Amino acid sequence: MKKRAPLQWILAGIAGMAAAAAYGQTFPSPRAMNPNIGANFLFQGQKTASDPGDGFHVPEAEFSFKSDVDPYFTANMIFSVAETATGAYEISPEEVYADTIAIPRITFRIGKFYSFFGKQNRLHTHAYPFIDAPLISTALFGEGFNPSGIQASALLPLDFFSELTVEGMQNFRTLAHLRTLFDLGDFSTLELGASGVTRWAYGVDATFKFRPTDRGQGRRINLAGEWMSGQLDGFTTLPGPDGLPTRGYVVYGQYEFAQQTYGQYRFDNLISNSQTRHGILLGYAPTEFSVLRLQADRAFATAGPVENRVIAQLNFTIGFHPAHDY
Amino acid sequence: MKQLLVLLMILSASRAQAALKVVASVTDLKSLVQLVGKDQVEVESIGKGTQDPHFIDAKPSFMTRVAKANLVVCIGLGLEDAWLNSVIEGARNPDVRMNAKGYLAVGPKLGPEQIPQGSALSRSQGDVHPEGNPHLLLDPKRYGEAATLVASKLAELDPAHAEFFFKNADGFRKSLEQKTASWKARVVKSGVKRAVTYHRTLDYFLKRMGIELLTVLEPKPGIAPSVNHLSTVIEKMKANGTRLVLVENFFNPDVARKVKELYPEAEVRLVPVSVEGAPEMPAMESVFENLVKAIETAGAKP
Repeated sequence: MKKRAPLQWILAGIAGMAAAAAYGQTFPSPRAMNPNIGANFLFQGQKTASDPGDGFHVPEAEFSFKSDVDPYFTANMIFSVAETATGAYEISPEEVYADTIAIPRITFRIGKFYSFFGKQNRLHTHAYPFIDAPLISTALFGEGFNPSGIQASALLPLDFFSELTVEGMQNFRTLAHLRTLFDLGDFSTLELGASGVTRWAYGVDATFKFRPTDRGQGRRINLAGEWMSGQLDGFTTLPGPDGLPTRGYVVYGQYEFAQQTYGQYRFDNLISNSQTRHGILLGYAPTEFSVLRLQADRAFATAGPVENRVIAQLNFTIGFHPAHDY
Repeated sequence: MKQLLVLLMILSASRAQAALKVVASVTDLKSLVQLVGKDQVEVESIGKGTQDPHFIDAKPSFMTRVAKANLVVCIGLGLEDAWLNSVIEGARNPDVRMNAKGYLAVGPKLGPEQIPQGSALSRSQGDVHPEGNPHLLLDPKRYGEAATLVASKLAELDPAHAEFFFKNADGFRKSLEQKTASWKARVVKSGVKRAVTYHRTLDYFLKRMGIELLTVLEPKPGIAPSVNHLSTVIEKMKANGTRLVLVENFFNPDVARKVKELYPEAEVRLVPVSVEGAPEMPAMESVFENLVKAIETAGAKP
């Protein structure tokens, strides 16, 4: 192709602008087509009796890009830069996927994403209810169960919220997940979920939320529990003894006792490996973009000493910050 | 074949006659859609009148409603960003996605004000809205104009009732114009010249009523005021004799009490600023009427 002289380009540009001005058009900022960009990082300080990981850390920074691709797809890419055990940082695609937007009733998701298994597994680190994941989640799924695959999800034609999800993922594993939510009056909801994945894990979860919408009706309350069991090749980091599946549950409660301030309690029970843990957390969020949390826990194992730990975490978000799931 | 055609015609006709299902983001819009669409619409609101519209939970139950909706009506201008999009996405209804035929954001079309200028915009200024102050439905004039926007959209979705929608919208807008004139006359008579609010919620209303907004109680949008900051605001009020403080009733009433404690002469009024913001507020006219009364009672005192 013949190369056009720069002057010609400039003249063509001016002519175009003049034509557009004549029709009263304005040029959108070139940034209008850029994806929504967000970034987030965690700063932590930890103290235990003997853990080599004690002290200050930036355990993770995360970058996210979200935008419609075209009239048919919307895409979301979230990259995590996480500190490894050696202190080096590794970048990995935590979730990179596209969702269909033109098909009614069903959403297809294509890419690498957190599988719809229970509640905890779908969360990014900064959105965990506690600073760390429950014992059972880490034992069963490691850093998180996010294989590549295809997902189809739909709302069932019922009067209450009922979402059915199926996934086909790498190594031809398949997953099914049902999530239902019932309104208990104006202020409270009860969510029930069941998940199952081949080769293999299954679990159930329940969440009660009290969200007063009027002043003087009390403060927000969350009560949640999740039970799961399984042995997932490639993900399970702590198998049960004697080749038995990993099995356990977590329950926690949150109470917002003052504006932007909340207290939490968690009980972890990794039944298969005889480990339990009690934890309390105090959280303060000056805005939705910065959160300070202080967590203390005490872990018990039949083999080994009682372990106490205190962690403080600051969580900062800049740019685009999509709404968290309810 | 002929019977089949007749059947199809009956079916399509009955479909056209079915009421449009509308989900509004907030009660002010629900009420407006109801006034314009009357029996040709079934409308419900996601937010409640007692909720701060910036912070509403994206309850999945709303996804099931939006899934069946023909139209989603919102204010836009970033007001519902934190929750509405995730409800629409979860609904899996392409007809009501942003900018689709069944989506209407009235805010951008009603001349938003206070659009921050320059490149210095940052979150250090608090929860600022780059597209302008979104509380423009509290201006009675703009609320009347929003009725026409709603009518246009309903007419687009249900052309058979276009005339009906526009007639309702026109009637409502005109009656609101008359009432606005009388509200303004009452406000002028009250002698109140300046007021303070908690958040920049009532700017459009006060401007329409000819009242100057001296300042707001929160130091920055979305940031709760400290006692120190309240004292600064009160000094400013005392300096020019401003006594009226309107506190939107979804904000912390402790702040209202604190102001009264620090400045006993202040006329502090906890006011609903949305339809259904209080039990006796079934429509926007009662919200405006109540605001005017709050100003009148503050002005009546010596």
